[in-house]
Amino acid sequence: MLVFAVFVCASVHAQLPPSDTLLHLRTVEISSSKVKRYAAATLQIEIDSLLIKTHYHQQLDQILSTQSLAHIRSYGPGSVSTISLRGMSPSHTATIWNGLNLNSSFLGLSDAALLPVFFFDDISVVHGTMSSLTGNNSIAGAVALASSSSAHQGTKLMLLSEAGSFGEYKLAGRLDVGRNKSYHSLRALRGRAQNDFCYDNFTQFGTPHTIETNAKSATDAIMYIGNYAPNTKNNMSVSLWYQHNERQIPPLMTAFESKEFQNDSALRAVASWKRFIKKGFSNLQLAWLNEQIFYANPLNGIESLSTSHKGLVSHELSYGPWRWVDLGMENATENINASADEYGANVEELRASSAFAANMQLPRRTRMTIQLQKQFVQGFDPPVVFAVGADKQINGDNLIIHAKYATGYLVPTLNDRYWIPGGNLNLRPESSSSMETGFFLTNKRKTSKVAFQIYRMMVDDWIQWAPTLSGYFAPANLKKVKSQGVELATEKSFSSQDKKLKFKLIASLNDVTNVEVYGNPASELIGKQLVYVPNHKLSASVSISSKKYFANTITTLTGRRFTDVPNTQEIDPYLLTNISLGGHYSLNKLKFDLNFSVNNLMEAQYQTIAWRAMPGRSFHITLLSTIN
Amino acid sequence: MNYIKLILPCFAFLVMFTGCKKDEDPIVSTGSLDGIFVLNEGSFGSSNGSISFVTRDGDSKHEDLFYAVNKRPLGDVVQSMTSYNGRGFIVVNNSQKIEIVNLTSFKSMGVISGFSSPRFFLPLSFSKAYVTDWFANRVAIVDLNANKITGSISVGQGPEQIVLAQGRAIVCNIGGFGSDSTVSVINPVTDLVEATIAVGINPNSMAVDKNGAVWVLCGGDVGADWTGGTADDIGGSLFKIDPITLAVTQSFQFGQMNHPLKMTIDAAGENIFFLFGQSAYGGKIRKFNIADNNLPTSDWAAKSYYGLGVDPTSGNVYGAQANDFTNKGWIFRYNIGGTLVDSSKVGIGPSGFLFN
Repeated sequence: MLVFAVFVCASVHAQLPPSDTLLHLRTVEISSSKVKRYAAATLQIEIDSLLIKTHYHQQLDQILSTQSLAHIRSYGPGSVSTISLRGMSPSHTATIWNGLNLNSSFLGLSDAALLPVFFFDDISVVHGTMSSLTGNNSIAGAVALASSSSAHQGTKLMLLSEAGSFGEYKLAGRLDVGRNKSYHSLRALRGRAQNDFCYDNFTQFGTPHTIETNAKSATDAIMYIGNYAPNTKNNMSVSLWYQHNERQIPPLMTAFESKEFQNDSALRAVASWKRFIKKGFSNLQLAWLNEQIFYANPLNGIESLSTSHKGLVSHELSYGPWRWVDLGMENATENINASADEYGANVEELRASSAFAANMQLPRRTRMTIQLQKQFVQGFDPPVVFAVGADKQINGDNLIIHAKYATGYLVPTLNDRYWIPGGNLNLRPESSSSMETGFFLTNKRKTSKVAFQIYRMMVDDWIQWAPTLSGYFAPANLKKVKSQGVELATEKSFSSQDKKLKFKLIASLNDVTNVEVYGNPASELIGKQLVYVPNHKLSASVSISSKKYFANTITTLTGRRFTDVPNTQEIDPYLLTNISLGGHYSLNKLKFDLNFSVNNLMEAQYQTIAWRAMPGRSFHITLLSTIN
Repeated sequence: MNYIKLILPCFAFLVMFTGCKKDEDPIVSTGSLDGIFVLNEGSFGSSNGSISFVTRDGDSKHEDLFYAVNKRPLGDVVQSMTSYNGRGFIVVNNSQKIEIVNLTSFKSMGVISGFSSPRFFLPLSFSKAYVTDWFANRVAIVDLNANKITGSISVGQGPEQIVLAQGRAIVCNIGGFGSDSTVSVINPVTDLVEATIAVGINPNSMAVDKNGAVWVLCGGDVGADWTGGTADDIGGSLFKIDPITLAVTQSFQFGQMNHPLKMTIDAAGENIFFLFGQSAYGGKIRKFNIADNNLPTSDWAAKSYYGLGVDPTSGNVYGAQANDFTNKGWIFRYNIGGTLVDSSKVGIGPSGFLFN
C-alpha cells in the first residue's frame, strides 16, 4: 500500500508593510493583529494553520520550541515555561492575544505552558523590538496569538481527544456557528497529566532510576469568540477566555521531595467595535484581565495569594488619505489594581499611552514604516520610543532587502517594586535600542524561500533580582547588556500532483553579554554570556504529505547554556527529534484526522533549566473529528 | 519522485547526530585533604552548592571538590558539615539530604534522605546521630548503619544548631519563619525532651566552653519588613547555660539594631567569636572572652562576613564573603592576633568551614 503524506510546515517570511492594509481585513477578523499589520521590516515566523491543527494537543511552549527560534525555558512538562527571543529575558517578549498583552503584571512574563494551542487560529513570532507598537514587554519581540470565529455560514463541530505517555490526556471541543450577520465560536478544553516519567538521576548517590513525583497538572478552559457585522461598515466582536490550572511543582533532581503546588486562574475579555470609514477604519477596544496566582508549600507552611485586575480602553484610527500612505493613531488607558500577600497593601496604577504609525509606499518599490509611542506610568517616565524601517523590492518581489532601527522600554513589574522584602521603588525603566537588516529571497514559483537577518541591540538599566546579605533577593538596575546575532529561516518544497515534500531549516546564533556592570566597572562579569542563553539554536524538518496522509520529522538542536553568571558552569547542548504520522478520512459530513506522534524519539537526556528533569521518549495519539 | 530515497538519508543523518555522546571526565586525584573545607551554599534553587578545599597555607586546591571527585552536583544550599569516624556528613538543606563522604578521598559513601529541611548533624555514636529538621520542627534520629531516619523528637520552631554538653543534646530553636525564644534539651538515651529553656529571641548558634557551659547566641528580630532599623527591631542577646542544672547563669543584651550570629569558639574553649551587624545575615567579627563581664564594643576585624570559623589546629580565624551569591565568593584568613594574612577564591556563597 502506498503511503502518502501531508506536509505541514511553518511559513517563513519577512513581514512587510502591506500595500493596502484594508485589503487584508477578513470579514470576521475580530482584532486584526496590530503587531502584524505595522510590524516594520523584520523576521516573522508564522506557524501555518495546518501545522497548528496537528499540534492542537500541545501547549504553546511545545509548538514554539520546535517551530520557532524562541528558546523555551521549561522547568519540566506541565511546569512553568517561558519564552526568550534573541537571548533576552522572558519579560522582554510580549505575548499578545487578540490585541491584549497577556504578560503577568506581577512577573512581567507569560507562562507558555498555560496557553493551549487548540484555542488559537493564528500564531506568529515577530522578532525585533516592538515597543512602539505594543508598549511594554516587547524589547526582543512579540508572540502574536489570535482566536477568531469561522467565517463560514452554518454549523461546524470539532472534537479533539488525545492520550499520551505519562498519564496525559486532553479532551476539547469547538462549535462554530455562522448565521446571517453573526458568527460564534465556543471552545472548551480539559487536560490532565501525571507527568510521572522515569529517568536515571545521575545527581544522586548510585544514580537511582527515579520516577518524577509531585508533577501532576490539570487545565480547564473555555473560550467564546462572537462577531456581529450589522452592515458592511460596522463589525463588533467579543472574546472571552477563562482558564484554571492546577500544577504540582516537582523537586529538583538534587532533592527528594516536594509538596509545592500552584493554582492559576485567568479571565480575559476583549470587546471591540470596528467601524469602517472612507479610506480607513476606527477601532474602539475595551479589555479586562483578571489573574490570580496561589502558591503553597505545605512542607514549610508558606502560602501566597496574588490577584490583579487590569482594565484597558483603547481607540485606534487607521486612515489612508492617499494610495501611498496608511496612517494609524492609537490612544489607550490602563488601570491595574493588584494585591499580594507579600505587598502589604493594595497597589493601584494608572497608565496611558499615545502611538502613531505610518506605512508609506515610496518610489522605486521602496516602502517605509515609522512608529512613535509614548507611555505614561504613575511614578515612571518611560522614554518616547520609535521605530523606523524600510524595505526595497529588487527583481520583482523575488528579493527584498530591509532594515530597521527601533527603541524600546520595560517598566519594572509590580513584584520588582512592591514585593516585601526586596521590592525597590527606585528602579528605573529599562531602555533599549536595536538595529537589524536582512533580506528575503524567493523564487518565482515561491517554492524556495530564504530569510536572513542580522541584528544588534543594547538594553540599559537591565533589572535583575540578586541575593542580598540581608537574606533575601532584591531587584536593581544592575547592568547594560548587548545582544547580537544572526537569524536564518529557509524552506524548500517540491510538489507532484497531490503530493508535497518540504524541507525547512531555521537557525539562530546569539551572543548576549554584559557590557557594563553598574558600580563595578572592573567586574569580571563583563563580556560573559547571560545565563540560560544558548549560543545557537537550529531546527530542521522534513515533511511529506498527500490528501490522505502525512508524515513529519523535526529535529531541534539547542546549544550549551551557562547556568552561573561567571560562566563556569554549563548544561550540555541537546538534540531532540520528534516524528508524527497521520491520515485524514472523510465520511459524508464527517472528517477524521488521526495523528500519532513520538517526542524525543532518541531518548535524549537533557535539561533546559539546570537540575530540572525532562522526560525521555513519549507517545501521543490524537483524533480530531469534524462535523460540518 | 521517490520520496523514500530522500527521507531515509535525512533520518539517518538525524539519528547519527543524536547518537553522539560526550566522553566521561577522568577521575580527579585529590591529594591530601588535611586542611580546610569551605562550605559554599550556592544560589538558592540552583543546586550549585559546593565544598571548596583550601590548605592551611592558603593554597586553593579545589573550588568544587565534591563534583571533581564524584562527577555529580552536591545539591542546593550546603548548610553544614561534620566530621566523624573518618567520614564527612554534609548537610544539604534544600536538597533535603545528608551526603556522606570519605574524608581521605572525598568519595561519596552514601546519602541520608527523608528530611524536610535539614540543618545540623550531631553524631552520638557509631550508629546514631541527631539531625535538626527546620521545617518539621523536629530532631530526626538517624541510624548510621542503615543511613535511615528511625524516629523524631518534636522541639521548638525551626531547630537550628545542636551541640552535645554533659551528655545532653541541646538544640537552639531559631524560630523558623516566625519566632522562638527557647533551646530544647534532649536526653540521647531516651530520645525525650528533658527541658525547654527560655533564652532571647531567635537563638541561632551555640558553643561549649572549656568548663562545659553552653553559650547561646540569639539574633533578635529585624521586624516584619525584614529591613531592621525600625521600631519593631529587637536587638540580639547572649546566654550562658549550665548543662547540668539547666539554669541560665549569665546573660547579655545587645542594643536595638544589633543582630549577632554564627558564634564559634577557639580550641581552648576560652574565646568566642561571632559576626555582629545590623543585618540578620552577616556582620563584622567580634571577640568575647568567657570571663568578660561586658559584651565587646569594637570589631575584631574590619571586613564584613557571611560565614565565620576558627581553626582548632592553628588558631587562625577565617571569614567568608558571599558577595552576591551569583559570583564566586572569597575567604579571608587572620592570625590569632587579628592580622589579615591572605585570601582565597572559593565557590558560590561561602558560609561555613570544617577544619580537617
